[in-house]
Amino acid sequence: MRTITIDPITRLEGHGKITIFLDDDGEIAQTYFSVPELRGFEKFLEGRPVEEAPRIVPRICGVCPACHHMASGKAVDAVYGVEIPTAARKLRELFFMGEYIHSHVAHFYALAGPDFVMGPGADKARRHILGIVDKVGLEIGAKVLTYRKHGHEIMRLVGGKCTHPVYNVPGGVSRTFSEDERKAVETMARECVELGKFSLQLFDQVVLQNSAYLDIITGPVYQLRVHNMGLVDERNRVNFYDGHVRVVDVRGQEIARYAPREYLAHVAEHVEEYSYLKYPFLKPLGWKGFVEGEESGVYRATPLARLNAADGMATPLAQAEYERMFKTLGRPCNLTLATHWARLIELLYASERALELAADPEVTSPHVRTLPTATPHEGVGTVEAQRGTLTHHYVTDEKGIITRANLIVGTTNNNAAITMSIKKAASHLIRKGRPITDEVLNMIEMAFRAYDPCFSCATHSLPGHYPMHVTFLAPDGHTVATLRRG
Amino acid sequence: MIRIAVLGLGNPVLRDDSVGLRVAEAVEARLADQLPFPDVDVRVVQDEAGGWSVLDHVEGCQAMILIDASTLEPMEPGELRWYDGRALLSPRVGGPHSIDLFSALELGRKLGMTVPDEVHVLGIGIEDAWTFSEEPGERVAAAVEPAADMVLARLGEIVARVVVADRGIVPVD
Repeated sequence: MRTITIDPITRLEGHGKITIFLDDDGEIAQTYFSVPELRGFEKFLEGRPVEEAPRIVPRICGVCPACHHMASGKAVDAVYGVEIPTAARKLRELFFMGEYIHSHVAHFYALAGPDFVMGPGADKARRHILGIVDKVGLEIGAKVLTYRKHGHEIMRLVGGKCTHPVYNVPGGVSRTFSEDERKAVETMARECVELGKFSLQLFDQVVLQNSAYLDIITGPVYQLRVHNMGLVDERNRVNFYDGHVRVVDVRGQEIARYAPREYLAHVAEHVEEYSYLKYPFLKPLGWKGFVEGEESGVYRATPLARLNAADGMATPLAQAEYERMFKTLGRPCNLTLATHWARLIELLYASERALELAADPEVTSPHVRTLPTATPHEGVGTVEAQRGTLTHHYVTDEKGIITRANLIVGTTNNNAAITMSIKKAASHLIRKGRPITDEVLNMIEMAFRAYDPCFSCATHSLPGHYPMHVTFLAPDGHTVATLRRG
Repeated sequence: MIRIAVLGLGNPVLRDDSVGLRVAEAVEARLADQLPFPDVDVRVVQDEAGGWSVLDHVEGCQAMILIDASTLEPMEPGELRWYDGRALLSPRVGGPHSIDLFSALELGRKLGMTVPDEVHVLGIGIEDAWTFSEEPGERVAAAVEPAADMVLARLGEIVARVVVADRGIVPVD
């Protein structure tokens, strides 16, 4: 047996390693996607006042700080058994939409876009945003920078700070929203809606109207039949901030719909010895291994899974795009690369939702906090992070000191599905006698890049990027070839 | 007015990974205690994220100093090493949610922004950037003040050179 190791992964935040074992015939024997997860964040929280948690947890990740801030803030409200004012709820959601906008913009244009605009086999030196700018025009670079900034600015104007938010406090938010701030956010949100429309048009022109790309998206390399998870509102429409967790199976049938506090009855975690990162699965179905289908417990929680798990979008333009996507690809859609399309529909939804909220006169209400009075005990908070359903669960003593914490972060939900997607792509792309080219490696990367995975966030030690090393080992273990990227 | 950015990167609760932030903090404190450089605006920033955010911080600057924990090559914990940013930067993409420093600066340049031509990188050897803790290891913590000394000295050199160039003064050897 020989081994291909991809370590670490290009364009992936944090450090991951892919090991692909080939048998003597050169076929895929097994794949392992292992992650040296950051250690001990739950322990780090223990012994601290629970009201500090929303300010600490954004430090887990410099990429999606608002997701942790939101899930944590909601968990703290639940710990104190306090219902926050409607205005505070709307403001939190508006703040959160800012992060969705800048995160989804960055992912599409910096990560997903190059694979399609430049092509998966393009020279790797040009397969990045500068290549897109060279090909499509400077204007697109300006758009990306402008709207990414809009996302940040919406967060700053609503919450006071962007990267290290101090916005959520037990029972509400820490500041009111002035009329001037509201007007500014409304203007930016309106422009973001235009960006969302533009991005979907670009995806349509560049990807959907290119039959070669459409074949890649709909072909067997990137299909995975697993269940779908996402937060939905009372009408089963996608909701990032609040609602019930809904699970829809591979046939499109609802198999679970539960309040976030009941998550332990629905999700359990499988452990493999080669990875720190656990493999959540649907508890009623049980862990049956890395297998697809109705009986498997494996699910995904991604933009595509969220759209599969919902009956629609809560804003008009996003709803029209939701209908167009499923009319084109069928529902549920099990095409991993369609996640990019779903992500852009979510970008449009986040922009429209931001505009709705910014136009709501209630957001300038002075009543943004209900002081908690109950004795703290236990609470769960769940939001949809860009990379999947994010749950924070805290237990405290009667003084509000955290005695136990449990976090299921967005990407963790997708750990099993990512592993399976890599194996499937590799099985199709790596065959005996066929050279393992840079294009092949990139196409394997595309299988997990669609998940926008983020494991060991916020470590920024130099070099700040992650070259790919691929080592080919003969059955006796000696190195027969090495490919080095970056 | 010449503008120079000093940017410390790191995660404040990830043990040694916080060192870039701590050095930037020390540099800021030293600058507050000394006479300002004439006609030079030194902007000291701490941040957790690289990529796009770097562009926000360094836009309008002629030079920048980046301070970060380093795993570029084997180094002792707390060891300090300068790198020429131009030699480090390559046209590639960094994280999925961001772009690398080179691409960020190049994108800014293409869009007509003023971005630093001079990029100085101070790498600091680390031992553990994987465990949550508010305190860096002993040897890494001991490197903070010496690192701030080096940044201040480098800042002086840049100021001298950039100001001289800006004013069209030909230096006398």
